[in-house]
Amino acid sequence: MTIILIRTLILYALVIFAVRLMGKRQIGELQPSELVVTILISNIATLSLENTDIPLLQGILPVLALVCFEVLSSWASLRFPGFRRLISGSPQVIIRDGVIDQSMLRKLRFSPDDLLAALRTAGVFSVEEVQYAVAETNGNVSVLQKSDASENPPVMVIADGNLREKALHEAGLDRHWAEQMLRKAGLHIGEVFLMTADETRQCNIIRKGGER
Amino acid sequence: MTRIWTSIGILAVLLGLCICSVRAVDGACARYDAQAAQAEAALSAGDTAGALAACDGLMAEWDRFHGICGIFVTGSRLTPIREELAALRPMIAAGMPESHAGLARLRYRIRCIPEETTPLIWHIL
Repeated sequence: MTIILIRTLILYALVIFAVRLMGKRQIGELQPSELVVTILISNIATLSLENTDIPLLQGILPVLALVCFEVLSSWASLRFPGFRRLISGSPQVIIRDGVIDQSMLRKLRFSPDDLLAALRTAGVFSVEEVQYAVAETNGNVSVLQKSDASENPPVMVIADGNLREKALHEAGLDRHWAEQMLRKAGLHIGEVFLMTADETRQCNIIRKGGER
Repeated sequence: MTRIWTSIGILAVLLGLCICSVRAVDGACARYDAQAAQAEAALSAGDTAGALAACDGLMAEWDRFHGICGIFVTGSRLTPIREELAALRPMIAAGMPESHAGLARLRYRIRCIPEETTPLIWHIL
């Protein structure tokens, strides 16, 4: 009994430390890799708690290793967009100007019921009312209604110094235009933390360090 | 960046611990097996007193052996050794022929322990 109590205390402290090490991202919506790590940690911790035949170290080691891998993979996701797409996927437009992209729905394995349920959750009851609906990487669907302020939602064209050619293309823009705007602002791509632009060529640039 | 460096540090410590576990368990098992081999040799030579002394040595070393291996290896691998050892002494003292097989079994169980810590591909799979 005493042994189980002490092991529980140690594992409790370890899991709290693990969640703190993973950071605040963990507390909000879970990305696929975070979901996997959370499930695995809870399982491993339970096994070590229940079974005193297993050395405590065999419970501690995988928990710590998983959390460290998760932290390093989050860092790599931040640094390398390709790695982020591989681990978390990328947001996909499923409704554009009231028209459902059926091939994308099939690709995402979204049924029409799922889609309508997601729209209703967002307070929209008709597909025609939707300007844009985007399936986010965490499984949520973000909806922009036609009556909302902008008919052309801005897209992120530069994130943390990385130019996103695909996003530029979706907004009907190109790399040349982005470089021109940056030249006007006296910046180059590597100095930009965030740049958004829409189809009307309105852009917003935030340089690294927080200056707009 | 603190989290990144903390993670790298923890992973380095875990890697060190893995290497230590292989060395510690291998070493402890090799020592314990050598003692069991002494008992086996004495028994084969008909030296019952020598075999009993070696057996007592194994009993005396048990806590240390269990202390090292118990950190890294599951209890289900260690408990049978303890049981085998406890049954072996009366068998040797009574001059029972089964004690030869008992010692062979004990040595086999000791030699199997490093399987849990040695990262060979068939152990991993």
